[in-house]
This record gives sequence, structure tokens and C-alpha cells, in this order.
Amino acid sequence: MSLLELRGLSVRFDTPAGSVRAASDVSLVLEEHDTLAIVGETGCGKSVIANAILRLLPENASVTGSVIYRGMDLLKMSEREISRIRGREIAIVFQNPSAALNPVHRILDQVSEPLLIHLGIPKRRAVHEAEGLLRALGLNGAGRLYPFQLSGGMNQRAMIACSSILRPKILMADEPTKGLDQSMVKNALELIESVRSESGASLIMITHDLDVALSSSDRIAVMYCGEIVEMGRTEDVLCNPDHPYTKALRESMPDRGFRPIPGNTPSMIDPPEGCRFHPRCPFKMKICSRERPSLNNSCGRYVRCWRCI
Amino acid sequence: MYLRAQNVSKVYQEGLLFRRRRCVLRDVTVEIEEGHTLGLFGPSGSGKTTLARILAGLDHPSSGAVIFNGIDLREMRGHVFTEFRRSVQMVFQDPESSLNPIKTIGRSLREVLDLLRIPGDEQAGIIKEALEVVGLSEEVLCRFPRQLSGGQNQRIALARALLLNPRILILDEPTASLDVSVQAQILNLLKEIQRRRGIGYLYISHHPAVMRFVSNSVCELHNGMVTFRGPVEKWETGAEAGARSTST
Repeated sequence: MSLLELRGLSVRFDTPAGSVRAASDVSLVLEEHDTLAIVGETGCGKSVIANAILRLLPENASVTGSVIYRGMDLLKMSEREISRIRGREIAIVFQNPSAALNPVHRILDQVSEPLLIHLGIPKRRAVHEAEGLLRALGLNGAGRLYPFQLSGGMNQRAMIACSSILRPKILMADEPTKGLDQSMVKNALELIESVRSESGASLIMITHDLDVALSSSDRIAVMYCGEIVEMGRTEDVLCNPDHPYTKALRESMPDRGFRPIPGNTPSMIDPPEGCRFHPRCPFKMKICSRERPSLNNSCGRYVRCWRCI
Repeated sequence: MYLRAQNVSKVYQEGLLFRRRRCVLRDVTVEIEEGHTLGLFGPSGSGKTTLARILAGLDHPSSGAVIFNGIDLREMRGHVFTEFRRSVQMVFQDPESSLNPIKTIGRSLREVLDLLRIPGDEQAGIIKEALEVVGLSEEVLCRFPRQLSGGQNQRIALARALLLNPRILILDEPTASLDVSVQAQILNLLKEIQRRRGIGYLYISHHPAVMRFVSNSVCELHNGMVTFRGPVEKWETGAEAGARSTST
């Protein structure tokens, strides 16, 4: 049995302007000790998936499909049951750590809080354990400070400490490198990897940076407009892409000379008929605008394109 | 036309009784010319944005001078200063926070034309033309900034700066908060606009590959001091530079 499985997960937000289909029919599997990257442009539904797994979406979201964690469907659980999964079994490192941390509590209190709430251990032992973790993450002495007194990179470490102190089975990192300098990106990735390998957790890395995905994951899922368009081993997918969107994304990278993808990302309220990438695709055929291709599997490589069938 | 920072230094003072002085820029000289792109490279905290703000006239240097077309910024009065403000425009890092959230895109753009005292009936045509330059359709005019994507907002911010027909454009990491594919679109768009209008750019970035792609010459800052200045072909540090300065 796999650790986590998403089956046909769809998320819809009802807004006054219409219903936004943020994720449609997303299916993927995460094994133990696996590292999976979810990449795609802003608004393609990457973060929505992470939040849907932990049921952190706002009330106007309607979620269908199923999220199976160790044989239990997280979407059918009561609020009480899911709150025991959150943080303890599946934890998330939010994007923008400076905003995700509580500004009026000291770092040490925030890092030790999960131990008090989930495990109910005495305060002194919790604080002691939290101090140990902060030291291991290179934040010695920062525990007495407040988030505003630390730099973005240090807050990032504190956020990682909060999420990993309960040694969750799955760690989800939502854009952990956004807005960081290149050297700090490397530090953040090394830190996440050391925390992950030390606790033997699985990792879901959500990012828009293909370099980050390449250096931090074994498998990758490329998303476009709420759908997974290509999935497989990270090196295979990024070095030898099959889907036209993955190809175009590779071409817009700095080392390929910043060649842009023509056109704009479509509206999620009214996505294009057929293949959602067809208006921008250089290889489009007649069938592409009429029928929606399915995610085809050939030897563990999944591609959603009519040309690859 | 040119814009030059001549031996500019900037010191921030902290504290009321026990003054602590922090020097962010030390004796920096850079010059931006029309039709050329000067890349300003350096890790975060090296003083790039401070220098940009001083060049745009949004901040004053502690010593040294900013010279626009031979005139010192401090000596400018009346219409000369207005002319400077129009000719030198700045595009900020975060597009969403540089547009007013309670005004529609159309209102934000018309506001600029009102300041230029352009009559209402001519405005629609000018705005349409500006949108064409940045590759957007007129349907965005009735929307609010939050209803547009980051890339679209950055295009609007760019269109708004271009309405004034500037000669020098200061771009403070305009693609830092955007996706790789949108970054590629904006960078190519900037190059195209420069080719057609001959605007001079000061392009700030901490990304060496972006720097090499957009600039003709590069100025590298570390802890407020210039460590390299010259044509981009001779610029070598790049990749390791960011790592070096933060590790020490």
C-alpha cells in the first residue's frame, strides 16, 4: 500500500464571477521515502492540492475525489480526526515564512507548541527538545527572539523547525525558495533534505523553479491550468520532456536563452475546450481543440497529449 | 541624455541617544545612457535598491550628487524638476503593491494622463496604444489589480511608466516575483521596447543569467561598494558572487 494516494482530486471555488476550477482530476501516488516535486506556473493549482490534502481550504471550496493516507480517506474524516493528522503525520512548510509565523510569540514557543498540543509532554521537556532542534538547524540563541527580529532565511528555518518537530511521515514544502537569494536557495534545500533524510519522511516539493525541482526530487509532476500534464522521473521529464508545455517551460529557462511561451495562461473560470494547452501549443492538431486527452502511462511516464498516444 | 550618480554615499542613522551609523553606499559612481542597459548586480542587502531610489530622486544621498543632463538634482526647481520626474521612471519589484488596489486598471492609467493634462477624449487612444506595446487587451481596463496575474500587473506597471514617455527607466528586479516563463516574456518585451524607443535602462537583479541577457554593461555592488564595472562580456564573477558575500 502506498503512503499517500490522490484519486481524481478536483477542487472548485465558487466566486461571484463564476466557479474557478483550480484543480481537476489530479491523481498521483507518493511512496514512503519518496520525493515528489509539483511544478507549474502561478495559479496552476499546485498549492491548492497541498492545502486540499490537509483540508486547509476556505469554505467556498468544494473538493471531490479522494485523498487516501494509509488506507484512510482524509476527505471523509471528522475535523477532530484530521487535526490529529495535521502536523503529526503530514506537515506543511508554508510559503512566505515571515507571514506564516505568529508575530507576537517567540520562536521557541512556536516551535515547541506542537509538542505540547499533539503529544501533551511537559513544557520544560518540550522547550528543551525545541532548543535542540533549533541548534541543529543553526538557529542557536534565536529561540528567545520574535519573527520580526530575524531575517527571511532565519524565519524559513524556524518554519521548517515548526513543521518537522513532530517527525511527520510526509513533509510538504510550498514554494520554500520563493524570494530567496540564490545562495540562500541552496541552503534552504540542503536544510529540507537533511530534515527529511534524518526523519525518513516523504517530501512533496511545490515550486515553480525547475532547478529546485531537479535538485530536490526523484519524481516530478508538471501542472498546467489545474491538470497534471506530465509525470515521471525528474531527470527524464526535465531533460527529455514529452509534453509541449514541459518543453516550452524548459525553453524559457535562463540556460536556454529566455524563449517565452506564446500567449497568456488561460482563465481558470472558463478553461479552453479539449487540451487546455492547445491555444499556445506549436504542435497542435485538429483533435486537440475538440477532445480532452487523458493521462497516458507508458513505463511509469505519464503524458497528457494527443501526440504521445 | 544621461543620468549619473557621482560619488554617492548613503548613511542611515539609527537610535536617538546612541547614534549608530550604517553605511549602505560608499562612493558609488554609475551612469545610465539612453539606448543602453546598465545592469546592477549584487546580493540582497548590498545597496542596489537604495542606489536606484537615489537615482530616481525618491531618496537623498548623504554625500555626492545625482546629475541629470548636466544639472544637479538638488538645484532643479519648477518645470526642470517636473521634466526630470517625467523622464526618469521606476518600476518596482512587487507589481501588485505598486498599483492602487481600490482603483481599476483603467483608472490607474487615466490618472497619469490627467496629470499630464491630456484631454479626456484623447486618453482612450493613448491607453490603447500603451496596452498594445505591453501586449495586453483592453478588457483588463475594467478589472482590479487583484484580478490580474503577477505578469499582467507587471505589464500594467510598465505601461504606466511608459505613458510618460520616459528616457530612463529604472527597473528594480521586475521579474523577481514572477514565474520563469513569464520572466522570459517580460525580458523579451523590455528588449523590444528599448529597440523601438531607445530608452536607457538600469536593470537591478541578483540573477547572473538575467543580467547577462539584458545588459550591455554591468556594475557589481558588494556591501555598498562597487567591485566591478565594465562591459558584460568582461564580467566574470556572476554565479559564485552571491554565495561568497553571504557566507562571509
